[in-house]
Amino acid sequence: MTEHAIPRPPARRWSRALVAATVLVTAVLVACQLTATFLYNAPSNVVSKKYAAQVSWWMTPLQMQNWQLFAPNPISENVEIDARASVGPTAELTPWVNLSAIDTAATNGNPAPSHMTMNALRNAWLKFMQTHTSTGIAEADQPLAATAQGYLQNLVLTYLRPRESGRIDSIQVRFTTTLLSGEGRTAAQTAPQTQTLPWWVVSQ
Amino acid sequence: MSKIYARVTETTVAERGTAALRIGYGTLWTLFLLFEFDERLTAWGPNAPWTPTMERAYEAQIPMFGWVRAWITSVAGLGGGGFEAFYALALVAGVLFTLGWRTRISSLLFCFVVVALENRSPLITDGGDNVLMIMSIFLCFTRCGRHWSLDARRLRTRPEPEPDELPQWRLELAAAREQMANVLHNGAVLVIAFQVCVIYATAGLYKVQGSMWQDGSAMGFVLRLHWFQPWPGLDSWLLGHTTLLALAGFVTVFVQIGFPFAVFSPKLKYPSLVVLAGMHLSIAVLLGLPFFSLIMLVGDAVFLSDRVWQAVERRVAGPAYAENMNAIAKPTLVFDGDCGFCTSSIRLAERWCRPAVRFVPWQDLDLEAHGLTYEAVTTSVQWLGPRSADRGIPSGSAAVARTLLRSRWPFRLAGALMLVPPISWLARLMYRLIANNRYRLPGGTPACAVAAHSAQRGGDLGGGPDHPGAGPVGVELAEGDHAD
Repeated sequence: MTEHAIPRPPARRWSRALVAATVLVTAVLVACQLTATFLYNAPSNVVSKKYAAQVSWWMTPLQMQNWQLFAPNPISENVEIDARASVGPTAELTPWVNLSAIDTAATNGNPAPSHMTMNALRNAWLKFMQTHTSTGIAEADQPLAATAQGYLQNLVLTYLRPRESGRIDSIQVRFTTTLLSGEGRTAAQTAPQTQTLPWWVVSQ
Repeated sequence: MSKIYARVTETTVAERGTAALRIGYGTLWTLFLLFEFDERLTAWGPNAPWTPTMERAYEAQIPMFGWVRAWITSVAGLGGGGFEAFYALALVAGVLFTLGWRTRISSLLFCFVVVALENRSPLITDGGDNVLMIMSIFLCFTRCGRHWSLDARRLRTRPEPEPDELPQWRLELAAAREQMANVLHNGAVLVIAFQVCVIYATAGLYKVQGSMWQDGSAMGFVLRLHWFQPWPGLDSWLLGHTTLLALAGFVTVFVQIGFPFAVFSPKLKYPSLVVLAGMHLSIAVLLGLPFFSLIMLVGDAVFLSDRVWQAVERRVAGPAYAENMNAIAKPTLVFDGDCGFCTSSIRLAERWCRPAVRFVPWQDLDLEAHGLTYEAVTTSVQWLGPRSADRGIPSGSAAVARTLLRSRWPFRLAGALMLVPPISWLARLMYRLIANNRYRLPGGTPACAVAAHSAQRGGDLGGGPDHPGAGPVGVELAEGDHAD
């Protein structure tokens, strides 16, 4: 193939300068890239603190990454997410619907479950917990609290709407967290703990 | 220093490795979009639970350039029809990138759609999406379309115009462009390899701090998580084998931490890659994360050397292809076909030394095309090998030594010795003596006295006067190419 025939090297001064400039620029960029990647992923240290702004400028948002996969310790609790709704003009209350069980049913025996099934509820729950107190009140210093709540609400509605024919006026969500049994964990610790959030009005 | 400079500008590392990345990521992306097709509107559509407003509010928290913001929120701005069109474009980009159609352009398109779609709903992504996004950016800078691609096929079947048809400055620009592309490719490959090492090292080093990974109970917890449980029966069977799980956990952590060091030693590298592949496949099945683990697995391909990929190439393409490859890849010794002594010496060598070398009389060659002169070929034998172009063409005793190096034992040893001073000086003297008197020495029929024979030789080579169209490609083509 022509492209693979040993090509003739550039001979003129301008063309050689072009190549040399490319080498220089590439070397600098690669050096920055490797340094930034290392500092971004390394535990917070004197160097990464000093250059935090520069590293963040280089890495965000296109190269944001987090490789603490199941580390330092994997999650060791199961979370069940339930929701119920107040429906129609009579404000009829539906029973609690186990949303996690719906995901589990969609996952079971499925070699390639979808992203919505695998990740959506878990990350919505995580984001909500990061931005809210344990009673479900938005933390004052979390600008994304409202977004996290709105997302969880929308997501819950995608589960409830196909199961509910009436007009959903408001919803309530609860998390039931069960610490997995293991060495040094007492029965009291591994008992399920339920956290019920306030009612949210659904804007139509 | 100049050696390093030449390596960076004139050669490329992991051309086949990056081609494997291209095919791997392109295929996985296409399959991913097909698998998600039914849920595409819930995941990324204009009325998705993660609304366009939320997406903009989320990105507003992160400082970034305007054009980057426009890029990663581009899907959020699309209506129903626009989104469907974008989804179709994303699928097409995946297919084109996999096939290597105009790879530089399709890699940019691929990078554009991957980053745009993955950022539309950041809260449904996992580590696999993260890797795919980063790698799609890096691959834009590589020459990942030089093998196993439509580009490679196109360039092979439709050669570029004859050099003398083009103006000088354009040839010069093409030459500079070639080297600049090499430089970018090599830089990007280093960045990709480093990124993969960082992933494993980070994953391993953070695990080693966790008490559950230390006491071997971590896997026992992971397998009981309802979030990741497509095969509960398999999980409960595995949970009965605590020793096995503890061992698997330890091996995972050790190999992950060791990986950045293991890549420098073939003895460690390949076993590590096998262990990691096992780990990824287990994650794919046990945790129901096939795309996550396969994307991670594909990244490892950059560490397989081109030699390994060539072996794969031969295995996949079958024996006929392998034979063809061997024939082309053989270096060539150019000799004087009019000299009976030379011809019989070569017959003897072929019978006894069995060198993996082709012998071609210079009378059959387009000398200029191979960088040879009449002067050179009439004074001594010439060696056309892999690196003749940048190091000068070895001739005479050096060429004979290289032929012996490619022969069977013990001739190989003799060849090696002939390259080492002071034996090499002696060899050169001897060669001169013989070559200058070659017509007086005894020998059989000269090669060029048999017309049919020489014609067949010329055809073999794909160059020479019988094939003027082959131009300057000829023997050198031997080494680099073979794009599929």
